[in-house]
Amino acid sequence: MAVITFREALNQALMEEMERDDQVFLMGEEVGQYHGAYKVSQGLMDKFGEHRVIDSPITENSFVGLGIGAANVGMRPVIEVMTFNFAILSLDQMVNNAAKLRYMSGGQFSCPMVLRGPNGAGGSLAAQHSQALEQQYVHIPGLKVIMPSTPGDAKGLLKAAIRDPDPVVFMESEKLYNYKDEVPEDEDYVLPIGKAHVKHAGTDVTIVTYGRMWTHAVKPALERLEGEEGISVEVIDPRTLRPLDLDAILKSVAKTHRMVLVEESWPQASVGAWICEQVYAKGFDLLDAPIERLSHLDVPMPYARNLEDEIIPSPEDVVEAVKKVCYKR
Amino acid sequence: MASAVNLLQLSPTMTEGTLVKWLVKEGDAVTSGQAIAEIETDKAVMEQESFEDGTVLKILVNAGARMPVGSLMMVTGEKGEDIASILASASAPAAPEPEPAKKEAPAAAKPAPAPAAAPAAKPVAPPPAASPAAKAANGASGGRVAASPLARKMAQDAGIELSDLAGSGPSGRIVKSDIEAALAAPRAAASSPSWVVSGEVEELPVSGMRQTIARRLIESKTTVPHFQLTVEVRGERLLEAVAQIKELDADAKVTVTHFLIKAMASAAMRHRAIRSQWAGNTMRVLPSAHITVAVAIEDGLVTPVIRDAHTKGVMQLSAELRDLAKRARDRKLTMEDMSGGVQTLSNLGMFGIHQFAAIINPPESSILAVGAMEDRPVVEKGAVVPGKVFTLTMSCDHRVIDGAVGAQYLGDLKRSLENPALMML
Repeated sequence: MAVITFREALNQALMEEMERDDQVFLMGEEVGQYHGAYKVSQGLMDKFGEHRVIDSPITENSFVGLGIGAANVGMRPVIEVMTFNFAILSLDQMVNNAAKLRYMSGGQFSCPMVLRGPNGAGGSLAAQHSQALEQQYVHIPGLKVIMPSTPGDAKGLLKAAIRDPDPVVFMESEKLYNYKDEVPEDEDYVLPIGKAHVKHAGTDVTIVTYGRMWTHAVKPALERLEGEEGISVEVIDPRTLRPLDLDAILKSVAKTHRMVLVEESWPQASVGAWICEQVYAKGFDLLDAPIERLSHLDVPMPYARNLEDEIIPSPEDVVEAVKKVCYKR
Repeated sequence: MASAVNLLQLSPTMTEGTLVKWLVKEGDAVTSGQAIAEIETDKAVMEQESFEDGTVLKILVNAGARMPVGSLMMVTGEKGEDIASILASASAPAAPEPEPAKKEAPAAAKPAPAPAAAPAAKPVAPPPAASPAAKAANGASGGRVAASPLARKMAQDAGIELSDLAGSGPSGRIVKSDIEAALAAPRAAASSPSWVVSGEVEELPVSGMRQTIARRLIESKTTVPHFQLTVEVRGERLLEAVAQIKELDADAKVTVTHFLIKAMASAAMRHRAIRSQWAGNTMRVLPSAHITVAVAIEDGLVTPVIRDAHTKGVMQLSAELRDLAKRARDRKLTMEDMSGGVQTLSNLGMFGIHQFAAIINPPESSILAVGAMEDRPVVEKGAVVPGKVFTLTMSCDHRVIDGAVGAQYLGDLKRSLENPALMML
């Protein structure tokens, strides 16, 4: 397997899908001549030209809407937002148009588009540019939401998202773009949407996590948990937040009887809150301890780096939470 | 403001108590410092006092109930106050006799339109199988046993009564490991003996004192490294001294025991190791020789302490010991009466016991076991002659007292006992 960055994996996925299907095009701020604010679209304009890699003005509501319209007439647009903080401006397009058209047209229209870009904290980007906003999309019937945690998942799932017949929100992380890991060198590596992945197999406790929290908080805690604490940890990454692979989570909890949920984003009405509620409702008799949930502290993100570190779940927080659900204190 | 009256810790080792008798009833006025109830602790029957001035609004526990320290027993406050929040927030202890449902919160004072908070507060009778101890330990609140959903399911599948178990989770929650432990443990009640029993096996309740004896002696025997030193003591001069005192005062109630206490205390003042106690990272040396005396009472044993025994004469020691023993039998010893000793005297000589090894009474570091004064052949100047002899066995905590140190003390003690005149020095 090749070891490449998250950024390169996304680039490969875009490259391969644009080669495979000439209806696929990329549009967003600085995606063309500048090769993307985070260089995800490196070399795409050179290869596919200005008609398939389109630099948009700074008008999220307009170019997201344009992507939706193009999808309605059969194209496969990939719309890049510089960050999901800015995609708030285009929320009306996503919620009222992308998510609703198939339903309201009685199936006459579909919207096979991808809205993608970085989500969550990026390191001293302050309150307006550090938000993890996946819950805004997971809330909406009619949308699919993917939040990959590794380069391999990013590649396989972005290709699946581009091919999906419905609008897919694909959420990356500024902090993950440089993260290197193995990516299968299959000629056409596509992962199924809606399938969780066992990131680490174990027997004593289930950690459910997704996106950046896997490498930031959970993975660094594993050695201590399994070594010093002697707790065997199973890590489930849903990868797709909507539709959620609840069966995979319940299957793991049926084995471990304990669960810790680790997410970026705020705790109130979050995706993690929903997942925990589903486990309580459908796996009530499986649980030997209340679920522990780790998320951002419930405050706007400060600019100061040391405070940002305090806000985001840490490996130490994960160790404490796991010990708590295992009644080891 | 209505206030909760909880069971106080009335002795340093008390973890639960039995309500012997209420000294107040609902509607009574109470003042701060007034005795409100008699509580049997692990050591004695003691009175708990009120901390507040006010009216007794609600009594939640019946006489005979055993409950953990901190359990809500009573609510005081202003007449007619709403006490629902106190009742709801407290974990109601188990009532041994289910009360008739009539005994509701005194809602009369407040014409509440709906029976809102009352149900949560009603003390609910425990299921018939519940042992009070398990009940106290599984976070049972108003009859609801706290258990994780998994533990509940496992118990149901295995046919285990949750209320029989003690929970190890937070606030006594029963968790998976508790059920697994219960499944692994032999099911005493379920298994019938394979041999034929004539007559009925009795199951007796265990008193607070008996539980304390069990807990403290297991703790001592399993955590204190004991070793024993034994010495034979000639008793002729000791008996002579006792006889002399009685000759002068026929009513004097002096026995060998009182000389033993005096001699132990005086020797302990000369050997600081005997006054030392293991305190984790430090060694605690007590300044005076308070001697603890094991006193057998009905269904158990208590250990009152004679203060500064080295400074007292045998007549005074005799009087003090008689007073302590009487109060022990009446269960009137206080916490103060039973703490601070350096060494315990346990004498079974009057029962004809030749010699025995006693278990140390922590935090003390030694205990002296005294056997009966016997006629034994002894060798004097190469000839066997009849002698009065008794055997002393000292159990020592090896963390504090080493063999040679203990032997020196015991030699010193033997010398005093064989030469009572030395006690005058």
